[in-house]
Amino acid sequence: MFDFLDGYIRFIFSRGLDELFMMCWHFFVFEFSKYIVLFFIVFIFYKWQKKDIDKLKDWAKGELYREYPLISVIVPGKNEGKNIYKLVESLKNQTYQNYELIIVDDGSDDDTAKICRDLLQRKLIDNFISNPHRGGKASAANTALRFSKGKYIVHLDADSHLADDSIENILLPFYMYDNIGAVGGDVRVNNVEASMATALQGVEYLKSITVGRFVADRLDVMRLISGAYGAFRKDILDRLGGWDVGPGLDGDITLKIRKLGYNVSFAIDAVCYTNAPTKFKALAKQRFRWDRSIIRFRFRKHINILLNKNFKLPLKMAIIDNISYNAIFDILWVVYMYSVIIEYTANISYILLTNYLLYIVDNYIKFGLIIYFLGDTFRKKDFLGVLYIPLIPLYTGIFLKIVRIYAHLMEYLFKVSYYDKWNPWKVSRVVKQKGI
Amino acid sequence: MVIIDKNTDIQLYKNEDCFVLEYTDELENILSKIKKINEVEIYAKPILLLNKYEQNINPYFANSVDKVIDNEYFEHKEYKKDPLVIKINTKISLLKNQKTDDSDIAFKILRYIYSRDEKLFPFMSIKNKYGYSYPKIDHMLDKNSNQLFESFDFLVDNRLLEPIFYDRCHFCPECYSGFLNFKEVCPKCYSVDINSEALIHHFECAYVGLESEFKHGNKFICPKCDKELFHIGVDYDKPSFVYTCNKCSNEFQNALVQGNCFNCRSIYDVDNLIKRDIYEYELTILSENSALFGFQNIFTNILETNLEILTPKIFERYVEIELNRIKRYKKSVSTLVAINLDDIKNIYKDANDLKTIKQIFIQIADVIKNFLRSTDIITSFNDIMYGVLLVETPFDGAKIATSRLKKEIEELVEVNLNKKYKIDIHLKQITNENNLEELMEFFNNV
Repeated sequence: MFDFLDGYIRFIFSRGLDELFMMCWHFFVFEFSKYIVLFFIVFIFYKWQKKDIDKLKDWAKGELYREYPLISVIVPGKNEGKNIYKLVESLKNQTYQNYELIIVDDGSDDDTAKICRDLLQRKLIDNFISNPHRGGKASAANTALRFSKGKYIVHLDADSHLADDSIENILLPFYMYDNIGAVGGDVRVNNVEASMATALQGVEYLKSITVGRFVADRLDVMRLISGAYGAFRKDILDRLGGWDVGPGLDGDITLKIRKLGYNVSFAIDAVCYTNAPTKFKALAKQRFRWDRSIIRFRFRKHINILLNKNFKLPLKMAIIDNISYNAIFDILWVVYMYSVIIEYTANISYILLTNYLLYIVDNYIKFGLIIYFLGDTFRKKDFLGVLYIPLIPLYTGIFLKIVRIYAHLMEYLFKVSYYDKWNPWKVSRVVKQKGI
Repeated sequence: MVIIDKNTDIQLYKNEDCFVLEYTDELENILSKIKKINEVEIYAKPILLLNKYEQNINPYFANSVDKVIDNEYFEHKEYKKDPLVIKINTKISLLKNQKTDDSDIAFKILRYIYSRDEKLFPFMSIKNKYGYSYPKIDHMLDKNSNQLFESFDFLVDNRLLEPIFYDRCHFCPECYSGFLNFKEVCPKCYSVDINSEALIHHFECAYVGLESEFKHGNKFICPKCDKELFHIGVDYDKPSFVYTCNKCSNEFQNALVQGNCFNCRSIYDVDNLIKRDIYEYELTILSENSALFGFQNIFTNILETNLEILTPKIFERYVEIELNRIKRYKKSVSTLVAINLDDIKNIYKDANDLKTIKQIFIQIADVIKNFLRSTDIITSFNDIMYGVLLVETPFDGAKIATSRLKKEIEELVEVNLNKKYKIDIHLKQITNENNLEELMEFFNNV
């Protein structure tokens, strides 16, 4: 062990900076320059503008409460009865109270319908539609949309709960900025302490959703509103006819709203806590589904956006980046690994260790910035992430990457998303036939 | 044998084998007249319905009497040898020999069922506001009272009747009528003017809307993607139905179901209606005793069950042991107590409902139970006389304790019934000079 460390230190110090860069180019190109540098720039710019943004927010708040529009909170789901009461309680505590709660049961085979009917009778929910035959998430969301009366639609997963000012905060961007069609909420992991898998996802969500989407929003390149928590203008959803068949319907609807020429925003202070899969196997399944949708929707269905005049250049670049990062650069990661193995066969362990250390340092820097940035909304239990950061490079760099590459390949080659049980077969069969 | 009509003085015919009634418009009044008389040889007497003109008899009336007879039966006086009539009269002769008060409706029902010795069946009928009635006993009851179910509940609670499930019904909480118009209404404005329509889910684009949104003439066209829908189950389905209120435009899936009472017109949500099971009833092994001797036995049973009462014979043995112990050691003193509840028994006559009486007797049992120590012994010589052996208790101590017991029981009954009842308590000290016969004689003399 000592000999290895001694050898490692000698190896590092005998290399020039340019050689170090070449040894770890994948990190410097895709991680450091793209995220750390960009985040710092955006963050500094934001701090500079913060006073103005806060003023605007105060004004928007006044406008929101002056108009006090009805909001439809829609919760489509299957077998979610057990979560609904908690959700109702979480909504009761909202600072914004002019909402209707609509639950759609998409073919549950447990006592969801019974629970929801009871809640409906007790007037704890405003409408409940039970579809005994499952139609899939999109049809359930569209059913809820059909019966919504609100000016804005807040789409929520049943197993989530909201911070007390969350609905108010997700509505503010509609009043702060022009032409906003939809606003994404900040989705954080609720059950971080449940297992190693959830703790790692807790850190990942903070990085990719909280910070990632905040940066994307500041650069006006938001291209995904989480299915777990997002707010939409009802007139726009009506115009679009609601959601299309998933999986990946959240990304799909965001791009469709963008295509109509509306802006999409992110409210970092509209916090929603959701339960993440507690086991790696379930997590891998979930990501397998999410990652396939990148190919199916971004690459196949919405490739024409690059020619759409409503899309500004930075957004087009972001989408190209997203497609390429997700679909092509993962393959470059394989190329990178292959090249360093060939070129540095003798010192491959030193290269891997260097990469690993760089990623750990990178993650600690990001985590520190997140803690500073989120302030009070950073919960005590989120600090647990500090302990898991040394595992993050293995989690995102290996586990998630392998799942992603596998998902992309399977979708490229076999269009496996059409066989996903997430949609009922009656729906998958039709969309496969039509090549949607 | 005369045919009873509305002018007949029934008392004059109470010794006949049966009452023969004619199928006329007056039948109902005559049945009520007979069954409302609180004499068992009248209200329980076999009733035969003479179908003189071979009419179609209303099933309700056919079920209200013991038998429908024809002219031949009547003219040949077949009732004289009819086994049914003989069986009922045999039972009535047992019942009428007892000194009972038949004014309580539950008691009357029990005695009637006992006289028939067969199940009492419910009957669906508009003759009765409950919708279900028991034609054979219907005419004992006041038309607009709730006596029927209260009486059955009492008899079942005391295991004097065995219920056998027959049906489940809803009743108006205001008037207990079973005649309700059930209707689906809008949960928001309560309008009945609501229509239901199917939802359509177009598989290809996931659009969901009402059937009318898709309908263009004979075709179904998706409002979202403009494509025609051809085959249900292939390119679309109907996942559920939704109501639309024509008054307030509310759209909902779960219509509120309300019951509108035909009798008092009140409207209640179906969950707030009284839901009650309808039963057939049959006699239990306890029925006969109560039918013959009255409900007092029930209350004696309550006391006996709650107080763990010993038989007089065992009680006498304990007194004997105690007497011998006192004689041997010449130090101990114990006291015998005689409690006479003769006046308390009148509660049964004075109280309005049997549930209250039962509750009072349970409380009396509790008071006596608290009075007794674990070493004390209690017996009942009959349903009014109780004997207690207070072990190691001097006469003065027993006097204080029993006067407290007397006061508590009298107050308890007075608070509940607003009337004073007296209980008699007598004491006798056991000394080494007594003998057993002398001690037991004490209970006979008080």
